[in-house]
Amino acid sequence: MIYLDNGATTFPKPQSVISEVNNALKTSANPGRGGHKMAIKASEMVYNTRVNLAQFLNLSEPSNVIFTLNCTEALNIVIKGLLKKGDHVVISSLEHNAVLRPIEKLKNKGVTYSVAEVVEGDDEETINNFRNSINDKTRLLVCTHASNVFGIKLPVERICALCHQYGILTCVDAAQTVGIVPIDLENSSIDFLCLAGHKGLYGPMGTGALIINNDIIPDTLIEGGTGSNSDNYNQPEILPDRFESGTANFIGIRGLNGGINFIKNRGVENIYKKESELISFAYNNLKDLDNVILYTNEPSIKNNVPVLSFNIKNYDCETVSDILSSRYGIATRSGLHCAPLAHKSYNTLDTGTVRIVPSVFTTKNNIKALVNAVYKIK
Amino acid sequence: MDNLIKLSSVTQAMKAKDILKKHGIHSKVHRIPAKKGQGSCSYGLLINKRLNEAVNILSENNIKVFGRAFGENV
Repeated sequence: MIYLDNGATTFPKPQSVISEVNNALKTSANPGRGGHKMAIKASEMVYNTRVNLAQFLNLSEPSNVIFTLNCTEALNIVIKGLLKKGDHVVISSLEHNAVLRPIEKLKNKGVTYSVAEVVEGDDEETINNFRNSINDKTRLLVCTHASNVFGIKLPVERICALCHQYGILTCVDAAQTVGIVPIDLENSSIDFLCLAGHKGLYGPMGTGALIINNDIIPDTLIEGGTGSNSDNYNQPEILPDRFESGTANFIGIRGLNGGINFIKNRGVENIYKKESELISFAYNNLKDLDNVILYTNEPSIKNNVPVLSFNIKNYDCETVSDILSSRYGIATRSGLHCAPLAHKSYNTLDTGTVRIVPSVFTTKNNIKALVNAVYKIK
Repeated sequence: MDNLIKLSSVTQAMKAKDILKKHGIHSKVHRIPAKKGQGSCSYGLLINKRLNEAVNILSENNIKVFGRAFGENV
């Protein structure tokens, strides 16, 4: 199978991830609970992963790395843990349902929101749209780093800096960018970074993280045992315990550690460059085919991450994806990609798109095979 | 190692161990069991030398020390 569904989860996983998972399965006890050697060793392994991820993002405080089930959980903690009745939140026009749905739910509790339109290739206009969406009730910005459908990269640092000028907290959804686009939290206006561990970081599914990059601590979504302050009936304030109730996904977290090491060895810039070249190659070959519909400008490192959506004339996107899989052995993702706002922006809400996302393991021949297959679907 | 520094959590203990290591102070993460009338379960560091210095270093690094125990009280 030629796997081009890396936007959903990366495949294959590097050997370093497999080794870490195997090692964790063979050696693990419950971290942060017992005092025996195995438990202490497991605690140390989790802590080392926290440190590794913090260093990778240039964050000085490893305790502010909160392991979550996925990026969606991290976003829910920020959105529901911060917003109260009367608050207003600004989101972009390219948000995933991981942002849109929690905020829609909060409408019932008196939270309002505005959608700032992202203008492809025009950061100034995009930032103006964010500025115009802010009002005196705005408490939080939640903004994707890059669209999971069209690969449009947002000027998040400038948007977050703008929000700070107005005293607004900022939260960035880095599900599609961490491990691909360099992120430096030390000199950043991002207050909360939410990320997936199983995409660009190549960890196992069921891993994600919330990175807290300020002193504002959200309320909790769930409470429970943390292995600390156990005589206190209330959830502890200390990080990461406050947000990590119950047994941790030790196996996944260690796999994530292997993924981070893999990315560090390859170099984020190298990965970004390689995958961007592959997407540009795909774009430039697909645009010459009469049967193909493309939706964005030619991708560039400045404006895009390596994610590309297309359709084939007179074909439903689901059918195209099925044909690519069954006849040509190519894995793509079709439909709305859980991002109706993005499809609304590009007038593809009724049709959906076929999406391809390469990984570090994707080759130029893989993309050629895709282009040849698409050419034959008429 | 019969001196114990009490800390708030296993993460704080791991972090404290790393910091002390950078200052040449060897320590070992140790679980503090819940005892009647003595607070709840948590973690701390066992240290055999330079205890006062270690506590000062941790304070300078914003790691809150919740107490100390010595000898048989560890």
